[in-house]
Amino acid sequence: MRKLFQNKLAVFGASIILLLMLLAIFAPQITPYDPTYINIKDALSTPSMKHLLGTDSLGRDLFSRMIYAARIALLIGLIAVGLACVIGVFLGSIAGYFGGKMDSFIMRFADIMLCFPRFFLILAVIAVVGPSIFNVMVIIGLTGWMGMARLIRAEILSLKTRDYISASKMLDASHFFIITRHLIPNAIGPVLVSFVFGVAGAILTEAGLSFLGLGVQPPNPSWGNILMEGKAVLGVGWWVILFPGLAILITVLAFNLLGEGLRDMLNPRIEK
Amino acid sequence: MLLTVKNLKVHFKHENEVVKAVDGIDFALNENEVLGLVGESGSGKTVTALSIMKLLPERGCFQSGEIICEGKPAIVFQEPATSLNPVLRVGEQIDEAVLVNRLRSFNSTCTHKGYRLNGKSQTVQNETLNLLEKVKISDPERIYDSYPHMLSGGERQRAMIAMAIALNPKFLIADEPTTSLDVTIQAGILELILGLKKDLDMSVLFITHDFGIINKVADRVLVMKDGKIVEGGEKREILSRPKQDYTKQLLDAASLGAKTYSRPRRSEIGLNHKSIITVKNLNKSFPVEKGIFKKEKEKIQAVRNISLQIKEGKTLGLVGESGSGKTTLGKLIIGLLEPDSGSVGTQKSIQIVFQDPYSSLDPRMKMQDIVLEGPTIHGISKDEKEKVLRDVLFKAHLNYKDRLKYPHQFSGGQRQRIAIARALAVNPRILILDEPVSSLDVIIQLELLNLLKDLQKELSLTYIFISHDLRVVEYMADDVAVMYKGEIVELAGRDQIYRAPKHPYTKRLLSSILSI
Repeated sequence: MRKLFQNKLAVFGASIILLLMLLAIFAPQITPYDPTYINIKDALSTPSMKHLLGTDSLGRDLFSRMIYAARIALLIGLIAVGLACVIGVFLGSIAGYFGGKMDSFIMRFADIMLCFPRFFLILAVIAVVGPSIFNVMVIIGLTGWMGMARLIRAEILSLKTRDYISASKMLDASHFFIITRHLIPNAIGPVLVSFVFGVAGAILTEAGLSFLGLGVQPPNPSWGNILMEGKAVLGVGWWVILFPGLAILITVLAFNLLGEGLRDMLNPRIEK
Repeated sequence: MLLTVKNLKVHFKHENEVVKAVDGIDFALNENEVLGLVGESGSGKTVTALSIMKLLPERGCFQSGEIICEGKPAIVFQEPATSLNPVLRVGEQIDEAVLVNRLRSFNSTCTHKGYRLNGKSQTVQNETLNLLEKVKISDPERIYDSYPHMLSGGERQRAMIAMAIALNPKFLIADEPTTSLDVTIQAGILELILGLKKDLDMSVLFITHDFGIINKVADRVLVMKDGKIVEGGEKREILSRPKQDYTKQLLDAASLGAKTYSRPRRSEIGLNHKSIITVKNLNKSFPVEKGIFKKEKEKIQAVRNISLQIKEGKTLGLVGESGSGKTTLGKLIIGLLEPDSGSVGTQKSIQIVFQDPYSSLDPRMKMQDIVLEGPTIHGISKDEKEKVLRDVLFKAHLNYKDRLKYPHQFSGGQRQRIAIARALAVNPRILILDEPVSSLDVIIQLELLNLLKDLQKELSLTYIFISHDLRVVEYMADDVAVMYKGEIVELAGRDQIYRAPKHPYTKRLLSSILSI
C-alpha cells in the first residue's frame, strides 16, 4: 500500500477519482441549476460567473449538466465493470479450479464472446433492447467479463497446486470453501487492476454510445450526449464540446494512472 | 595467500532499515587448501562469496573493507538449473567461458563482441570437450549438444564446474554446490571438486550449511553467524573441540543421527502396535504427454505395487531420493491422489505436514485462522474454537500473542509449527510428515524433530516420516522403508536397516551419509 502512495501519478489519479466521486455524490448540493431546466433566453451564453461553463443551445447550465453526467458515467462505469468482475471471477475460478471439461466449456465460451467486436455487439444489442442507462450497464457488464475470467483462471491454475490447498482438502474443506477462502483472496490482485482499467473503458464506451444516441437519452445529461449536442453548434459555442471532452479525457486518464499504480504495486519485480 | 579479506562489511539498505549482512570479517585463503565457510541461512556466507566475485548489486548495497585476490576466482552456485541459460546448448555456454578466458589472457584491444560466436573454432570446441572430460561427465559429446533441461542435476552441476575451471582460476568458490542434489550424486560432486583441486592445483572456498560436507572436504573451517565469523581454525580442532557455544550447538544439531543409539528408547507401554494403516498393492502412474499434439503418452510409474502396514503409535520412515515416489506414496495414503489400483485401508483420521513452509500456509490468512481452519470447516462454536486455539498453540510451542500475525511475519521453523498446529487442531491419529524439516537450519531442525517426538508421546500419534535425509530418519523412525524408483526395496526395523542393510541400494545410500 505504501508503494502505491509513493507513486505520485497513481496518487494524482486516485485524488481525481475521489474528487469526481464527491462531485457526483453531492451533485444536487453543488449544482446551481437543474440540469434539465431550459432557458432559451440564455442559450449558448459564454462561460461567466452566472454560468461557470456557459450554457448549451437550449440554455441549460453546462456546469450542472456536466456534474450530473459525471454521476451517470461513474455509476455506469463502476456497476457495469462490477458486474463483469462478478461474472468473470465466478466463471474463471470455476474453470481454473475444476479444470477438464468444465474449463474447456467455459473458456471456449469466453473465446466465442471475444470473437465479436465488442462495441458493435453492444450497438446491435442496444438496437434490439432499446437504449437506457440500465441496459447500457448490463450490456457493458455482460460483454466485459472474459478478460477477468482469463486472469483469475490463470492465477488459480498456479495457486491450486500450493500445499495450503492440499492441507485444506485434508481438513475436509468444501470446494466452495477452498475457492472463496483461499483461491479468490490470493488471486484477486490482478482482477483489481483489471477492474480499474475496465472502468476507464466502460466510461469511454458509455460516452461513445451516448454520443451515437444509443446510451443515456436526452434530456438526461451524459458527457457523450452533451458532446453530440455540442457538435451541432461547434461554430458558435466551443465550450459546449470542449468541457465534456476534457472531462472524459481526465476521468479516463485518472483511472488508467491508478490502474498502472496498482499494477506496479502488485508486481514486486518492477522496481524503479 | 590467494585471497585476503580484511574487515569486510556489506550492508543493505532496505526501506530505511539497514541489514548488516556481513559485519566486519577477516580471513585468508591459503594456497592449495579447502576452506569451509559454514553457517545457517542468513549468516552472510553467500553475500561474502558474492562480494569476492564483485557480483553484489550496486544499488542499496554498501561495501567497505578490503578484498585482495590473486587472479580472478570462479564460482559454482547452488542451483545449476537456474545458472545455465535454458535456450543455449550446454557446450556453447562452456565455449563462452573458454573464449572469455582466452580473451583475458590475450588481454589485447580486440573487443569481446568481435571475438565471440564467429570466432568460434574447432579448438574451442575441443577445449570444451576436454573440460567436460575433466569433470568426469559421461559421454561429453552428447552433453555438448544437449540443452540444460536434458541433463540431470548432477550433470548440470558438473557442466557448471567445467565452466568455472575453464577460466583457469587460482581458486574456486563453491556456494552450496550439492544442496539441491541427491545424496548419492552429492558424493560424486564432492569427490570431483576434491580431485580437481589436486589436479589443477587450486584452492577452494567451500560454502555450506552441512557439517558432514565440511568434514569430508575442508582443511580449515570458518563458522559464520549474523555476518560475523564466530570461530575459525583447523577442521579437526573445530569438530572435536569447538570453543564457542554456537559452534557446539550447531555440531550437536548436525550430529543428531550419531546420538540416536545412546538415547533411551521411548516407552512403549500401553500401545498395542496393531496396524493402523494397511496398504495393499498400490500402483500409481502419471502420464507424460509428448509431441506437439500431446498424442503420444508415456507413463511414469511413480508407485509400483507397494504393500505395507503401519503400526499404531510408531513412526515409519520413508526414505528415498528425489523421484523415488515417496511423496506420491504419502499423498496416496492420505487420499490427495487416487491410486490406479490397490487400496489403502484405515479408519483413523490422517493429516499432513508439508515440506515447504512457504507454500503450505495461505499468505493472506492470519495465524489463528490458519490454525483453526479445520474447526471452522467442521463448524464449532466460538468458545470452543478459542479453547482449541490455545490448546494447539501450546502444544506446538507457539505464542498465543502472535495469533493475529500473517505467515510472512514468522520464521521457517515457526511456520512449520503453525502447519503442525493446524493439523493437530482436528485431532488426527496419524500424521504424514513430508520432509518437514528439509528446508530448515540444523538447530531449528533438531528443535522441530524433538517437538514431533514429544507430541507423538503425548498424543500417541502415528507418524509416516518422509525424508531424503537418512540421519533425520534414523533419529525419528522405528521402522524404515527404503524407496527406489517407485518400489520399496527394503523394509525393516531401524536398527537393522542402519546396521545390517541387505539391499545394495540401501547400502549405497548409507555409504553416502557424510557424518561428522
